[in-house]
Parts: sequence; structure tokens; C-alpha cells
Amino acid sequence: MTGRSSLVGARIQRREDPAFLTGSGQYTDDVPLKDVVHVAFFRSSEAHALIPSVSVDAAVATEGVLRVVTAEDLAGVARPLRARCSMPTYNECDQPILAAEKVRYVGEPIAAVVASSRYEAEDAVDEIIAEYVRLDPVLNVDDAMADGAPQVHDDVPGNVFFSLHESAGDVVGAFRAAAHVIELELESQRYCAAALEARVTAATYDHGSAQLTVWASSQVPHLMRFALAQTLGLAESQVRVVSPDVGGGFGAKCCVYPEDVVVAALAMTLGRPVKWVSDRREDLLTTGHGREQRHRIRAAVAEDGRVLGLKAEIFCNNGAYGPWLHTAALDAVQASENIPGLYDIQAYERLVYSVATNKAMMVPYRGVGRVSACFSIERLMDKIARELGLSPFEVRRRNLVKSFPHQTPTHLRLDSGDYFKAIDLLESELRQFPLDGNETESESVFRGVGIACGVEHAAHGPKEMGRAGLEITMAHETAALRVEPDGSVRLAVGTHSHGQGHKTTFAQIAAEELGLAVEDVDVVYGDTAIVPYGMGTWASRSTVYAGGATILAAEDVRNKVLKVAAHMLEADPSDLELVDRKVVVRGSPSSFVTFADVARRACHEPHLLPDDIEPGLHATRLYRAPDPGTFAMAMHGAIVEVDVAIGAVKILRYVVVEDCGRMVNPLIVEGQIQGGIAQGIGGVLLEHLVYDDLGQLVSGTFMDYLLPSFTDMPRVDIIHMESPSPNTVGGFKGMGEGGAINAPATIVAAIGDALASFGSFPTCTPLTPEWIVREVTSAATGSTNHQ
Amino acid sequence: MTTPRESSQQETNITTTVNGEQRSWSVPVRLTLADFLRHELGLTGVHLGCEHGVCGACTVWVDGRPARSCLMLAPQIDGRAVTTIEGIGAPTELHPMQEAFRECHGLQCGYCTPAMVLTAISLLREVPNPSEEEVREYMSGNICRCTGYNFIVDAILRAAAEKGGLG
Amino acid sequence: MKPANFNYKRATDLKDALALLAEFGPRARVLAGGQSLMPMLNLRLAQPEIIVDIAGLTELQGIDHTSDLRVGALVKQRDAELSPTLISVCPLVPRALRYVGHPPIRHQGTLGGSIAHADPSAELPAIMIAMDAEFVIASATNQRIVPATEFFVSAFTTTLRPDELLVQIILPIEKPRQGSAILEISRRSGDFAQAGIVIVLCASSDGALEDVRLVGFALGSTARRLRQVEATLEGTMPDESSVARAREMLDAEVGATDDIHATAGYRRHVLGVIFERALTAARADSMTGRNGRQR
Repeated sequence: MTGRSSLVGARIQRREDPAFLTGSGQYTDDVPLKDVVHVAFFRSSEAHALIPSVSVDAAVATEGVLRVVTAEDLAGVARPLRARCSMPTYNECDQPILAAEKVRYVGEPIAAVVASSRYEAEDAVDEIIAEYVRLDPVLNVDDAMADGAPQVHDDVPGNVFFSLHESAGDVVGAFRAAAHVIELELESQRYCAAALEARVTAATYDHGSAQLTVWASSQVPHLMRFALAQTLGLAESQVRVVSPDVGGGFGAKCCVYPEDVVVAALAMTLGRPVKWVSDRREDLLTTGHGREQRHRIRAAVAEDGRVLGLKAEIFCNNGAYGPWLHTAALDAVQASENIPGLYDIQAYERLVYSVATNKAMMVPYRGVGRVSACFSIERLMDKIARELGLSPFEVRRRNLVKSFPHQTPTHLRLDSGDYFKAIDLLESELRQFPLDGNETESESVFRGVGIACGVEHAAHGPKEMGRAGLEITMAHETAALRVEPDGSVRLAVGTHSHGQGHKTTFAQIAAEELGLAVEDVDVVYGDTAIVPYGMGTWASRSTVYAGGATILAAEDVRNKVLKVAAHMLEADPSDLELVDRKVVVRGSPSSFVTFADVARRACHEPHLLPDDIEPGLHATRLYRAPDPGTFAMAMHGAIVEVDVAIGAVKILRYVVVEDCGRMVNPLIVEGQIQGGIAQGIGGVLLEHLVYDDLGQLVSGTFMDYLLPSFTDMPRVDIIHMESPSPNTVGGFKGMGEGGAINAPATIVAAIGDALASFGSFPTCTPLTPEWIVREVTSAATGSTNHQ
Repeated sequence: MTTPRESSQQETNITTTVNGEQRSWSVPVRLTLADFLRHELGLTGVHLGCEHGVCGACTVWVDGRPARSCLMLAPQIDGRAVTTIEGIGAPTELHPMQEAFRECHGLQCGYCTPAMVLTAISLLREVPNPSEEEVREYMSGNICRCTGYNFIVDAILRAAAEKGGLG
Repeated sequence: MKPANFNYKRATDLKDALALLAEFGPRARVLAGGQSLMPMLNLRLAQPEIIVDIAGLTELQGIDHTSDLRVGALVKQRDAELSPTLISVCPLVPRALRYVGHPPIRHQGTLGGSIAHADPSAELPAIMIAMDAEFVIASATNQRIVPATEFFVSAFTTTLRPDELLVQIILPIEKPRQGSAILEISRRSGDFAQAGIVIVLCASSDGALEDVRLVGFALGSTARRLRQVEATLEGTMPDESSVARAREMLDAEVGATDDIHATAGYRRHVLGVIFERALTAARADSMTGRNGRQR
């Protein structure tokens, strides 16, 4: 890579931005569809009920209505979704496209109205009447797993979608040798991605060619294509899915939902374009939720604070269905896998349950199980520190992984990093900020500092994915790089940017390899008819996977460019270099051909090529990231101020030391970190999907589901380290979720430190103002806080 | 079009200037301004995030004032002027605020961005040299789910300090 | 989330608006700034038969300080917030408005709209009660003046009759040595209050509290004067013990309700905290005097 300008690693402005800034982005509802009709859903108002009858006559008669369909109408048309898992302890179940005899969560779709406008469709929905025979709902894990509990599904005995019991290392010995045994119970509430663009699905079916075209705000166009083909009985080649610009996803849009199938089925029967735009109420009700887990952690701790062994019991409130495709096991398994974090702990026993309840389903929301895993291990470290009188930094130093690669007891292998340097940096950054009370104005204000360290297991490798037993092992990506005859470059990938700036970062990668400028490379994704088969963007996989495939494809093209140029210059390919859109003889700047010259020669002048060089200038390469994936690292620190009189929390300072290997674009890396932290702040202080005892979602609009705003977000200082992955092409590590993974533990730790004088040690979220006031008040009275 | 013409829904005539161009239209009375702009006029830079006035993604200017277009009815702009993001800058010639957003990485998925830009320009018209606190306070009615806000604040402060002449 | 069907009538002027209300009053909702009504329409929580749009009534958009201080009901909240007149002679209004939503919302919301909407957690009804403001209410056949203290009946309910419109707000001019403060607790900046307090008071020449008005809001069914608490403070030099007594009385006088964001217990607790803080602020404000007043 010598002699070329370094585009990889440069803070380049995004190519995407001019379109977004001027409102010329095209999101799914912006796609013009001639004579499109609109769908509104009639949804269950009961959490758990039989539905013996649904009366749609009045709806059908409503002005503007074309069709009203229930499960009966779709019976021959669409099969249920089914999240399949080959793990022996997984209990699969069907997810109906429209609920037939039973509803299992408030918001479950029962009927769909098609009308000339969404307005009229909603008028008709108001006319639908369902008869409900209420069943007792189960809303929390304890009730769902109790003997004799109402069963959410006949196929899911005991309401347990999945269980796992695994042990590694000498756990018994560790606990025997322990000087201390420390126990924690931790709990996180249900919250969700709440992307600003809610889900949208539109479809059209051409009878002549038997082609179904679907536009969807999705992170996984090819996977959606597979699901639709399966449920509708089509060949995959009959289905085209186009995900245009997507207004945020955060994992919630990497599943396929019943509404997607309904819209496609309606398009097939009506013979005209059909569109459904989720409103916010539907979105909060039904677009997958995240985070609701309870952990019980026991640690065997040596006298000096080293953790000798761990036991974890993990209970995941999964909601009513396993999401297609990721299943109800994902969150729980991932949480359990990541409990040891970045610490050298070799004895570990985990017991994991993913439980069916009468709430909306859990989907892989940014960070997934790694968020609760980080929360647990980091609170544990702080607890050890407190009990043994160590600093939070010191206790971690005594446990940090020292050398790489490091095999964890859960089949993970930490690849590279310098955790000791990172924690030193973090400590020195935080020490510069004063903590003592003389800065505060009132005696009800307390300051605290908290830290949290974590690794971000990303870009999961094939065996790792295979172990999850999913129907599709999503562990490769393909890049198709084509040089046009005029020298411009088109790069098509199977991932799907929904804010991550792939049009810029992948262009940086390709352009660097080919000696071009970023604006010479046009990156294309999202349309299954145009791009190579791909697994989409989630789990922070894109840079590693698609970036890796891009490097390989670009290398192939580069080699061919050198060969053609060598022929044109009568030189040896090894004497040439690609720089500044030219192929130059090294050391002889006036001897060159332009990149465009080479392209023209290769594409349009094959008669001038030697016999051993084929015409054309393109390459398609596939990349399989090595197992088990990559492990970016981050250490977060926060200083907060808590006004205990009213329970208000202000974050005064937030510092991140992060290492995601080789960065493509540090500006974009920083944006991802900041965005993830904001979501973590939301999860600790504001966001909560509250269900009442009947299973009704009470926080059903943005008036009650509170997203963090400008005034809730602190300034974040980010210090970068770069320990490239020794295993990936490019040395990249996935990093998009790290902000969300570490932030909750960081802020809870800081609040806990601020409240330490009240004897507080929080192990739950959210920490609302009321929680804080009660904590402080009960410290005075000696009673315990409860949620 | 979102609604059929031969319905029993009441319609009304409006004459409005949108991005400098005068238009006359017949609209169903319950059509929101947001839906009118998006679907009747094709101004899809206006985005819907909640339809209850909390997220601010639908912000436009009505007679120069920021307005949540999901909280207005199309009939209400009769005789008034509306500006959407399509009236601000162009991809090859960005408005200084848009440039500042780009320089500072003040957007990721882009969905909240048109509203952020319009609201930010309104801010600088009212408070030409805002403090960071004033920026956050003014902008706090616009939700972003991607950026974590800090780079947006940077963009607005940069636009105030360096770009001037927001007009 | 789209509104259900309704009939739409746009008033051309005040006379026209009142004629429409005379004819359609009980079947109609009045649309002004839309910041409160439109969310309810979109969510279909409100499904009125008729919408009477009064947003274009220019007669109701002025601030007049020729003799007394009269503010048109359709004055935008943002304009009131930035009005030099109000900042100078009735600063509690701009102060309170800073809590109302966010500036872009205040660019559309009107004073009269918020007052007539009578949300129990709203700031404007509370300060109107505290200031003894008066409301000019018009119908096609009549005009009457109602004191703010009699206007708010319960949550979202006022004494406005279906054929009536709030047209003007008569505000008091701030007296010398009068001070005021408003404080509220909310989850995020601009959110609905969970507990709120308004204090208006005068400091006598020797520092004793006079003319104490205390209004609690976001506590229950409607903002109201906390007269017993006022009585404990009236005429006193506020020291630790009188404040403590007042706080005890506050706890006794005030009720609150639960919702998913906070319990009644929390609301009453923080009310006590902000009461003390607001009292300090109001006193400091009363002693600053008009010359030193911060704008």
C-alpha cells in the first residue's frame, strides 16, 4: 500500500449527505407508485385472547375501501412465518400473518383494510369488531414459567422458547477456592429501537412476468426476499426487494414482520401497488422490542479481586414470537456468551432461558445481549471494588485480558488490543475533572464517576453463526466491482447502509486500492435485482464483511489494471503503481497511462489486448470473515451530577477510549459511538415500554415513550486506539454497537457512585428521578427501594 | 394522489405559495399539511416521524415560522407561504447550514435532517450568535435517533460563527 | 394516524367566528395554533363533527398596553415570550413560556389556545391564576370578563360555553417590589410538568411577604391557588421555621395523581422541593427592582 494516498483512515465528508440535506433522499414512502392503495391494520386490543369472530362488514362498506382481509382470506395465499432454529433445546412456533383463532400480544394484526387513502383505511378499521374471549396473559418471566401458567403457544411448553445450560472450566473448584462469593441480581427494562422512520412496506405484482416487487424499509433486502418467497410459495427469483434509503434501523428492521407478508399478498391479489406505512403507535406496539432481561450473577473472587469463576442465570422476556430470522434465542445466548467480557475468566457456568410472554417480540436491538452482559460484568466489577476497597480501575486491571489471542470459556476468541493502555488513558482523562462537592451549588447535589469496559463481538464468523442454528447462516458477503469503460467505478454490495455511510466508506476502501478519488466510486446496495446476494447490515458486520469483499475484488481489478497498463506502457507490472487516477511507472512520473485509458482499453479495445488478457475490468469476490468474529473494545467513563432532592441526573462529562482496529473513516466511527451512547442514555434515564397488568402498552406514543433529546446528551470525548484485527482482510473490526453496549453500565455506575453515601448500588434500569428520590429517602428510613 | 375526488369528504380550495411558487389546489379538509406537501406536491423531503408533534421531523416554515406540518391541516395554509427543505439549497449548491452539517457529520440516516436544517436556520435568524446551551434548548424539539446530537450542535455553531448571512 | 372525518369552517373574522360558534358550538372544536388539538385529532382521541378554524383572526393577535395590558388570545406564545412589553411589565409570562414545549412549538401555539385547553399540567393556566388575570370571553350576543381563578373547572374543562370564544387576556402590570417565580419538574426539557409551582409575592419595606399567591399545577385535576399555604406565609419574614411550616401545609393541602412517569408521592415530594426553591427565587426577584431586572 505504499505510495498511495491514504483514504482509509481519513475523515472524509460523506457522499450521501448532499441528497439527505436537501430532502432528495428517497425513503420507502417516497417511492412513487402509480395508483397505489393504502393499508391500515386492525390490531388486537387484548394481550391474550381467543378471537371466535371478526366482523368486517361495516368496514367493507366504508367509503374508499377496496378490500378487507382476515386470516381466512389469506389461508391459501400466505403461510405463517416461522423462526427456525436447529438447536435441540429450541421450541419453534408459527407466527401467523394475520391472527386466526388466538391473539398473543396487544397490537397483533388481525385484519387488513385496503383503501384509496390511509385516512379512509383507518375509518374502516374503526368499524371492525372482534369478539375476544380473554385469557390470562403472562407478562413477566416468573409468571410465564410458573407451574400451570397460561401457555402462549401449544408448541412452546412451559413458555420456554429456548434454554441452555453450559459449563466450561472448573467452576466448582473456582467457588471452592474463592475468598469471597459475590452475588448480584440485575434487571433491565423493555425498550426499543424507535427509528425515526417507522416501518414501511409497499409491493406490486406483475401478472405477466409473475414478478413480485417489494419496497421495504429494511436492513436485509435479500433475507426479506427469501422470507416472502417462502411464505407466499414463490420462487426467490420471482421476488425483488428494494430497500431504498432507510431512516434508521438499529436491528429492529433486520427481521421480517407479518405486515410485510400481508402487503405482498395483497399486491398479488389486487394487481395494483399496495403500501403500508406504520404510524408511531403501531411502531411502538409491534416493531420489535429489546433489552428486557434479568440476570443473576455469582462470582467466585480471590482475595486480590480476581474473578476465579462465574455463574450466570439469564432470563429473557422474549414476548410472543421468535422473530424471523434471528429467533428467540439470540438475545439470551449472546448475553450469556459475553458475560466474561474482556476479563481473563476461565471458569464459567451459564443457564439461559428465553421465555414466551404476551408482549411484542424481542428483536436484535443494537448491542443485543452484549448490552446486558456488559451491564452485569461491569456492575460485578464495581461491586467487587466496593467490597474489597479497590478502585474501579484497579479491580479491572487485575482481571483484564493480557495477551492475544485470548480464548474465552464461551468459544469466543478475543483478537487484539491493549486493554491496559486503554484503561490508563481512561483513568487519566477522568481524573482531570473535579469531583468534589465544593463545585456544586447545593447540598442536595452529588457527583459520581462511573466506568464500563466491554468488547463488541461483531462480524460473527460462519461457525459462530452456524452454532446459533439459524435457518440461514449469515456469514459471508460479496462485492461486485465493475470499472466502466470511462474509468468510473461501480461497487455493488449485499449489505445495506441505514445511516452508516457505506457510500463513503466502501468508496474509500475501493478508491484507495485503485488509486482513485472517493468520488470516482459509486456504491450501490439495497436492490436484490442489482446487487450480489447479501445478508444485510446488522451486528456491526458490514465493514468487515463487505469491506473485506471489496478489498478482495478491488485487488483483483487492481492486478488486472496493472497487467493491462503494463502492456500499454511496455513495462513490468511490478514497476507500476496506481496513484491519482493514473498508472505510473515508479520513479518516472511522466510515464503513465490514466486509469480511464486502461478502462477503455480493457472494455472497448479488446483487439489491442494480448491474448492472455480477457476484455472487461471487473471482479466479484466473496469474503467469509474468520470465526468467531472481531472484538472491538471500548472503555467508557462518565461523570454525573445527581440532584437527590428531585432525582435529576446531569451528565457532566463522558469519555470514550475505543479501539475498533483499522478505522476507515474516524468521523463515521465517532458518529456511531455518539449515537449508541445516546440510546444507552435513553435506556438508563428515559425509555421504557411500560405494560399494565392486562398487557396494554401504556407508553404508546412519543409523549410517554421518551427519547433523549439535545439537552439530555453530554459532550463526548473520544480517544482512538487502533489494534488492527490480525484475522480480517483490511484489519477492520465491527464497531457500530459499542456505544450502546457500554453506555448503560457506565451511567448506572456513575449514578451509583454519586449515591454511594446513601448505600446505594443500583443494578437495574431505568433509574428514573423517582427511583433516585426513593433510594435516597429509603436510605434515610432504612427501607429498600423497589421498582 | 392520496384521496379520491368523488367522495363525500368535504374539500376546500386553497391558494398557497410553496417554495416560492404559487399553487391552487383542492384538498380534503382533513388532509394534514404534511401529507399535502408529501403526496400532493411530491415534496418528500418533509418526513413523518410521529404525527403527534413530538419528534419535529415534519418541520417546515409557514410564513417564515417553524411549524410541525403534521399538526396543521392543509386548508390552513390558504393564503400563506410554506417553505420546505426543497426550498433550501440544492445538492450541488448547499446552503451554508447544509454545508456545516456535512462538514461536521451532523447526519447519518438523514431522516431528521431536513427538519433539523430548517429549525437551525430559524434559530440563527432569531439568535444569530447562540451559546451551546441556547442551541440545545432551541433544537430540543427535534429528535434524532442516529447522531447523538453533538455533531449537529457543532454544525449549528459553525454555521453561526463561520458562515454568516443565513438570510 | 390520520384524523377522522370532520366538517371544516374557517372563520374570516371575529364576528364570523362567533356566528359559527353560535350555530355549531356544541358540535364543534375550535382550532387555533393546533399544538394541542391536532395531536388529539391525529390520534383520533378527539373526533369532533366540526372544526372551526380561527387561526386567521387578526383582531386577536395584538398586545395592547395603552391603558391596561391586554393580550389577544391568538398571540403566538413565542411572540409573547419575546415581547419587550411583557418582559418589562409582566415578566412572569415570558418566564413561564420558556417551559412550554420548545421554541418551534411556541411559534405556532397561542396563549388563548393553551388557556382554553386547560391541561392540568400546563403553565399558562397556572400563572394566570397566580396573577389574577382576567379573560375576556365573547359570544355572538354577549361579552363577559371572567377572572382566571374562576375560569378553570377541572382537567380540560373551563367555564367557556360552546358558543363562546376566549378573545383577550387582561394581565396585571407588575407592581414595585413584586416578584415571581415559576418552577417545574419534567422528565425532559419541554415535557409536560410532573409538578409545578408558581409564586407571586410582594416584599414589604421590611422584607415581610405580602400578597402571596401560590399556585400548584400538574398535580391533579386543575391548577389552583394553595390558599392555606399562602396564609402561613402572609406577613411573615421567611425563615427556616416559617418555610418549614409552609411546606408542611403544602403537603397537607396538595393532592396528586399517579401516572407511568411518577407516583403521587414523588410529585408531592418534589413539589415541596421546588416550592422552597421558587420561594427563594421569587423573593430575590422582588428585591431586584425594575432597574436591575434581567431581561
